Amino acid sequence: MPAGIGGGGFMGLAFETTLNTYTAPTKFFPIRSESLKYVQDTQWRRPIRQNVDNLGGVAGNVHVEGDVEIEALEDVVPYFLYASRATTVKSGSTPNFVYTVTPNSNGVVASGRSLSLTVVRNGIVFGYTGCVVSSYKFSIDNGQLIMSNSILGSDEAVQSMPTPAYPTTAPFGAGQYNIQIPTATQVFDADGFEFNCNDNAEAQFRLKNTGRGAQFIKYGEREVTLTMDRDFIDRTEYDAFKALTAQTITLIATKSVNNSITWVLPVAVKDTYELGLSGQGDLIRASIAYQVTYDPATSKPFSIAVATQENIT
Amino acid sequence: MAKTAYELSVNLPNMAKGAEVEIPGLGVFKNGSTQQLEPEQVESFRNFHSQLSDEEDGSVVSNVGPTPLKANWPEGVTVATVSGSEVQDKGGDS
Repeated sequence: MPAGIGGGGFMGLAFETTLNTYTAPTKFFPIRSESLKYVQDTQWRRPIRQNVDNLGGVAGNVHVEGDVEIEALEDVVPYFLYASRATTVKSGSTPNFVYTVTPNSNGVVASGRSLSLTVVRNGIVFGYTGCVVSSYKFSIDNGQLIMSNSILGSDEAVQSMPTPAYPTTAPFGAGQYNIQIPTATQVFDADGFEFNCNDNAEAQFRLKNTGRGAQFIKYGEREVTLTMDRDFIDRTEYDAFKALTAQTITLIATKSVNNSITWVLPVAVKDTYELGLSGQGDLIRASIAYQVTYDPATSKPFSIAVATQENIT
Repeated sequence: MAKTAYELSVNLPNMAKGAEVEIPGLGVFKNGSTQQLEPEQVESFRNFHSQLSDEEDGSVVSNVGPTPLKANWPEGVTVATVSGSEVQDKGGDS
């Protein structure tokens, strides 16, 4: 095969009926980039036996890791959120559904929600199994909503070439955002945000004779943060930062009532608040980082609601 | 030379009836629809899915992809030959 370029590649996913067992893709989606890789913890032999050379490798455990950056389309985002550490409740009826995602404290992903990720690079098919979302980030790139997923998985093997079919969903872009700080008060002084949820997943290996792939992926402590830059107008927010005052924040990306993504952060506390005079012509802006903490009143740190016509079972 | 006619049905279970589905090389279809493929679409599909290969003499050649019938479709997309019907060939497909 001659050399190829990225544009010829594509990616698909499917939920796995059985953890770590490949399932051919049922959903194809546009990606901006991916870096999934097969990681081998090879044991290189360095025994003491009148020799100072590497004597070869002993097969070690393997797992899959890497990032998948997607256009945050409302018909694709729920699949990745299903594969994260969260409880997703589907409501609505054909053709309009809402997937409400609430983080939980489980140690592993729910059965049937691990992903088989299929990547085709230069006409070669890579089938990654046992994949879960370890962390994800929503951000804005020149107006477009982006979702970046850090993936951990079990194993990889070649699979048969799939033939993709894509929905024609339009991405969220400029003019489709509603930033509310605090919730119910829309602000017009932010030009972007980054919402991060990191569940600190780790591959777990067990002794077995059925391959070297990770047996499962376990989750660790959760870290949820929000960052954004806002125009600096007065000391109100700055004083709230100094007082560790909590705020409820709501972020909405919406194309219509049935096509939207809403993030609700009941307790966001400013961790850092930075501003300065950076140059004669520079606008004075505040760079704010929030820690998103657990809310006892609603029993969750945040929720994400995705309204879409996608019917996920 | 006659060419086999194909019928494409799109019924992706995760998408609403009537939603648009883009199948690269074939075009855009309504979910829930069935449509006979024109020879130009079949040719376009095979060309879209063509792959380059290295030959022993050092040259690089382009091999057309499979017919829609032989493609590995996701659940909900099916292709069948239209029994008893053929269309006029415009290329080398069979």
